[in-house]
Amino acid sequence: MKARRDVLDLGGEPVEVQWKNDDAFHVSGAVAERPVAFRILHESQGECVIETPRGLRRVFVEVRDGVVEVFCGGTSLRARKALPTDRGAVGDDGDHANLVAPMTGRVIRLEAAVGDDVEEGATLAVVEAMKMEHPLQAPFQAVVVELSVEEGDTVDMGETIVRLERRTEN
Amino acid sequence: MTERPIEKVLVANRGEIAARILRSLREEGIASVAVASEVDRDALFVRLADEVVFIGPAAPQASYLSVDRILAAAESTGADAIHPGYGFLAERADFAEAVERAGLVFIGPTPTSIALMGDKSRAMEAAMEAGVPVLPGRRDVKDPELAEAAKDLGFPLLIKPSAGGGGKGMRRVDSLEVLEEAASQARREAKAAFGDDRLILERWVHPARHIEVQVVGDGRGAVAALGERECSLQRRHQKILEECPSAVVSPALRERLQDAAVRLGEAVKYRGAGTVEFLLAPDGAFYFLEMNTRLQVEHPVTEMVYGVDLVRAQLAVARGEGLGALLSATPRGHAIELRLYAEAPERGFLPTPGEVWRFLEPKGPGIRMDAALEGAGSVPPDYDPMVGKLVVWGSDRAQAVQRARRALDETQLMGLESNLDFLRAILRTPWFEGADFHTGTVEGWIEAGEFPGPGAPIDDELLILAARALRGGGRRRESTGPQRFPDPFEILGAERPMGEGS
Repeated sequence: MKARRDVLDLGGEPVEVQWKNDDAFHVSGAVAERPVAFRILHESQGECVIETPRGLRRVFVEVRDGVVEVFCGGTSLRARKALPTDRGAVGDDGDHANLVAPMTGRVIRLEAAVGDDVEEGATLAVVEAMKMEHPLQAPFQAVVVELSVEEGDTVDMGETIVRLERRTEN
Repeated sequence: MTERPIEKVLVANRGEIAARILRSLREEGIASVAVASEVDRDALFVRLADEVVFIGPAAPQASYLSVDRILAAAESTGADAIHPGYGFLAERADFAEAVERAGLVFIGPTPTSIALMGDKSRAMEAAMEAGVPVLPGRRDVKDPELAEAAKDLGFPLLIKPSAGGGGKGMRRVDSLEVLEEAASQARREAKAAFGDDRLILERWVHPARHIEVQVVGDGRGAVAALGERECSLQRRHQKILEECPSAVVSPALRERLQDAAVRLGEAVKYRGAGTVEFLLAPDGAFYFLEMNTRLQVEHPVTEMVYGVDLVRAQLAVARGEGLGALLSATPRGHAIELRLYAEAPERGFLPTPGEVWRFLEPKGPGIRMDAALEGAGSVPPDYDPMVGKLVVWGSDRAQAVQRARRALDETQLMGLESNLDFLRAILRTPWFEGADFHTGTVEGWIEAGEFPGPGAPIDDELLILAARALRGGGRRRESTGPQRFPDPFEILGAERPMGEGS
């Protein structure tokens, strides 16, 4: 499995997380460049048990509407992927990207069509939320493979608006 | 009063207390009727009842506060008694009266007792007549008498509405200069909240503890006292955590508190469960505050320490039976209750109603969870956002505190913000551990900025699991479906081990 790179928004400073599942049970990666590795002993129904250097941890994980909540013995965290305007947030495995609504709001402009070649940094859609415009930009040179909404549509936080695929230079 | 059977009880309430009452009814084999508003259609308490009547929309006025609709539900289902729970109609004398007029049993005190204790001035007179100590003060003070009454008492003093309760309209006054303004504000608030602008001026005792005594009366003059509850940990007069017994009440003081509460109960021939609230001064003197004529939110700590079921005791009294074993109940160990709320302490305790994706409940020895939901559910925005009460029992206070910490660390409401971290932080404070607190401790602690404080560090593993879950990694809960085990008959083949038709 390829290494993933995500930027999590924990309601404060974004945190960069790199990780890969070496097989079904071994996870390795880094959080803000601190190396991390652990083994998953059990996983089902939103609950997993992991083995860390500090002992076993029982962890509950739930995802709804683009928000993840994690709870582990008295500590909990809530996170979502960092804003799509933050380049790192949308890179999927490096070849695909989903631009998602940063907040619940309305799509006021779509500036690309399916099949368009777009440059890195190009604004593809604008979401209005809380009386502010949030541009969604291409994280890399790409082809628009899908537009999931139309102008004027309301979107929930985390809802995908544009799907991109990396354009390989020939 | 002769004994009268109760065969079907309507519970005129919702949430955790409705669930708690319904469970006791089930134990006694009494048929039960829940009433629910439209937003409570899927609530846990509805599922614990034998019958349900949907009585109206979410707005309390049109459902849980509608005397007509509740009585109509009782009539249509053939209920012969009504339990009001706490809040809503529980302390409305007119409701108790309407229930009795309809020929039903009101599982609670007489309308006369409710009205008497609901009026602070009259309640205080009743307490004085019964020889229960009250705070030095002046009742029903007219405006021209304010300054003189205040000078007699000395500053600071407390102004509170005669008609009210629960801290509404209560204010501390520090000097003569601000007295008039404070009194007129208090009158306005009292008028708005209770339709009655009479005021009481009282000596301000500080630091004080809020100690209350649980009583149950048989309505004929016999009253049992079941020790005290320590309820000093409050924010804006809302209790946060309660204990039984209080760490500062000695056996001798307990005797005196119980005697005072019983004297008041006997004087009014109190019927059913009630609570006599006292202010305990640092010198050990105590003063009557008010009497709550209902089952309290925090009643489970008394139940765990005294080994009683107060709802079943209420039922026994309502049937005309005596107090029985309540009179000889003795305390054992220590219990702590923590109120779980859908609220955001970090944002001024703003209510955070919504959907609970997953409710992780603590288990194991000495744990009781009285909650409004199980597994998952929702907290509607229309009512008090209390989700439930975690109650723990330990052989002594130290063990109960350890157990409370452990149980709280197992508890989580996923999907909405809650006060769980706030409760965890309280349990870690030296003043809680040392039982060294008073009614102003929590607010002082919050104002000093000691909560939320530095959050516990988040393990990096959890961040990776979060990122992985956002990608749909791992085995997702939604997609797993019910776990399937192989059918043992399939393994054995078509032939059933016991033969056909067994």
